[in-house]
Amino acid sequence: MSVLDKVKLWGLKKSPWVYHVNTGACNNCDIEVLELLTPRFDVERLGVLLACSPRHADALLVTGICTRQARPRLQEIYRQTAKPCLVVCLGACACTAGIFHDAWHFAGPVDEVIREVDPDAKIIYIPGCPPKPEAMIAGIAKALQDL
Amino acid sequence: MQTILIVVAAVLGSIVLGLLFSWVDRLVTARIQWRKGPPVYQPLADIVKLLGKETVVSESASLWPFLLAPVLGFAGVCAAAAILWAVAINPDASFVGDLIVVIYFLTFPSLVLILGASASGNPYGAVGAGREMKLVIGYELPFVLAMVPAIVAAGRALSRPGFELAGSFKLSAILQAQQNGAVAGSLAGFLALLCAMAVMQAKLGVVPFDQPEAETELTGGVILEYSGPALAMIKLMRAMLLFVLPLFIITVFWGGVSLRGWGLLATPLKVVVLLVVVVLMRNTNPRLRIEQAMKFFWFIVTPVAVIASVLSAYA
Amino acid sequence: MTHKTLIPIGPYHPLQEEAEFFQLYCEGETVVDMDARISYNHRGIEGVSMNRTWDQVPYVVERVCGICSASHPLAYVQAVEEIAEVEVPERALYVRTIINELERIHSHLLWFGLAGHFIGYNTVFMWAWRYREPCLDALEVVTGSRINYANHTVGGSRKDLTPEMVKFVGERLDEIEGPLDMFITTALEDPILSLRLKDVGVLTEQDARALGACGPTARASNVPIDVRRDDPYAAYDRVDWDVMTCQNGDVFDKVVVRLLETKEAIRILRQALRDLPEGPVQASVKEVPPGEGVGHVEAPRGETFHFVKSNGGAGPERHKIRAPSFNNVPTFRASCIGQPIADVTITLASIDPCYSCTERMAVVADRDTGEELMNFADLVKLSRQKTEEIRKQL
Repeated sequence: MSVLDKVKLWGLKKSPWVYHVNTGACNNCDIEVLELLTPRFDVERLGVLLACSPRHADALLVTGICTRQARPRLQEIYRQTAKPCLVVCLGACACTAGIFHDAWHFAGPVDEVIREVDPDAKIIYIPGCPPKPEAMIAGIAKALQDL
Repeated sequence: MQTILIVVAAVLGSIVLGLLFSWVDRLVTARIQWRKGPPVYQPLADIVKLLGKETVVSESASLWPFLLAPVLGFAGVCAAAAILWAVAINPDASFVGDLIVVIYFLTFPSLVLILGASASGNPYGAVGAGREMKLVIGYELPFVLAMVPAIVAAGRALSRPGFELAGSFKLSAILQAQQNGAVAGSLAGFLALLCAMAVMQAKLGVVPFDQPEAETELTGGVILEYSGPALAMIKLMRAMLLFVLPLFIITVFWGGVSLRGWGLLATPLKVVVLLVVVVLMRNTNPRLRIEQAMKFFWFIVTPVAVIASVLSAYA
Repeated sequence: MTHKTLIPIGPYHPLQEEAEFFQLYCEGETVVDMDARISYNHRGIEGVSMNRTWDQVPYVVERVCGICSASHPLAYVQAVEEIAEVEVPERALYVRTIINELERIHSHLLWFGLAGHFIGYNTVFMWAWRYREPCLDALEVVTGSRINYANHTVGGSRKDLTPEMVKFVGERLDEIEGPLDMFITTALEDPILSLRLKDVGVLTEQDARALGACGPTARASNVPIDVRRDDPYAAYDRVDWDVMTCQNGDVFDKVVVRLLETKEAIRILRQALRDLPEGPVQASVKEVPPGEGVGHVEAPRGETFHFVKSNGGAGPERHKIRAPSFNNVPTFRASCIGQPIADVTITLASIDPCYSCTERMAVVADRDTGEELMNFADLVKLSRQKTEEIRKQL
């Protein structure tokens, strides 16, 4: 690995900006994501910021089952995101569809939907309903270590 | 040769100090909000990361204006920084650009954001560009008017040997005139300083004047479409402005930068005071509506600047 | 001469955490017309719940919306209890009240913070969420989870409160109360906040009544409706409290009404914790006979309504959910048109919308035969005709 790559990787590890995509969640994961920014958890100390556009994002936090309406939009958002970027499946719904596995509007697990666009996408799973904020921080930290 | 050295030093110094200042900004903000805040290398990590990412250009964007805009803006801030550093290091040098040139260069960031956002082909970008334009129209007039007391003071100081209007626009003249007391020491100068500080807030694009970006309304507005190195340029430009604008205001109103004797202590103190005011304003106000912001600049800041100019004539 | 631009809010927009789509037709910065499109979050939760057993459904409807995750199960279990004619133990009623009021505090503080965030006032966001943490701690201790409580079951409450828990909740309330007073004073007195929020997105009393608004959205417009008082459930008729209303119906009043309600919730909680009767928390329910039942609950956002039909089987034969945002979303037409974009965004947020609650499918069908009368193409045609008419009027 060249020095340049090392520097790039350092930047990516120290400053992951996340964009939050709700593909049909019940809001719980979404609240807990916002919770991460607030004083008790304060992920800004790890360099994590909530980006306002997928163009600025390094990681997509996907919450919720992928509904039929959300499916093409999730794929489009992934295409629009500046690479390299991670996909984080947050919560039981995004990981496995959980309690909604037999819902008629469920259109495929998030990881499969993303893999249709990019077979090599790096996907991280953080299960829980909703995952505790501590679990989210641990998951993202592990993923960054593994880059 | 010396000029080149000064320019390189100015650009590098502004980048380093700018990044440091944006860290201070984020840290103080975090502390006000009961948070711990990011580590000191955070702004640098952000820039490094953005430089390593790809630049996405949407199909509806016009490529060259879109990508050229951040470069131009960055260059403008660099030029302003170079002039201000040159004056600070060697005030007696021959022409290195005067007040008017610096004001022009400081308008660059806003103008290029309008250019870039209009070229981005995004409806949010278009609205953001419109807002930025309105904001520029709002604050440029009081900004220029606020310079009058400093210019008049310089003119008065120079008029003893022989009045010379053109000379009084020189930053070195303004600095010399302040050797016996800062412009901000007089009532007129103080009012002008307040006006300039309000404008500084808008030029930095922070709350309450961040309408062009307004992440919860326009999802980033003017900078929405930028990614990768282009976004890094804009972030860098913003970070440098965070240092260059206070430096400019200190030069014009507050006795300039001095790194000898007491100056070694006083200069950082002045910069910190200005920075703290920016951060406090930013954290204790909601974002104004764009027409409220314009009303603020036209009906409050501009009259105060006019009063300051008139007062300075009778000082 | 008019030149309209179309500003999309959504489907993925940082203003709201959920996917929703508002098309704002703007002239300059002024919104002259708008379209709302909701269904990105449609998961078919009613269908899911009809495939579950009576005891499983509370945990499904809890996930209708994460922030009302105590209100939906409560409405459901009340509906089922109506069918089965269950006498719920007194203590369980109090436990339900405690959990629902804790949820109200957490939800209102959450919204207050977000409202600050939406107008760029991040300090308010951080402070409000900081003082919301004690409430979440209390909920975690009482129910075992920060957000999905899974506490209401048919016939009572899954978990009982121990004396230690009662003490713990009381202490957390003390922690919240001081900052809450500070928020109320700040919100009422901050000149820039009122400059930004007063007379923005006004929903008049008439409009609120005509469009059927509910919850804090209606109460801010001086329409004093509240299920807790109008048709008391749980232990709300056993404690002393008031319905809070404001006069103007602007966003500022919606902030104030929510903060005052939070204060009121603390008052209810203190009484409920003090008067908590002894006894069991769970009545035994053997079977659910055929029949129909209705349960409604005042969720933090307004009235949550559940209709359950039983055929005597293992689970509901029909389960209909109507969430408060479904009533409140149409009020945008009255409150948003004619406002600048900056105000519309905060007005959209001001009803505290919850799209995952609201997501619906619309099918135009014959009532008797169930035959579909209009398909997608027909609806598009209809919409084009309407657009044409509007264009002629302009």
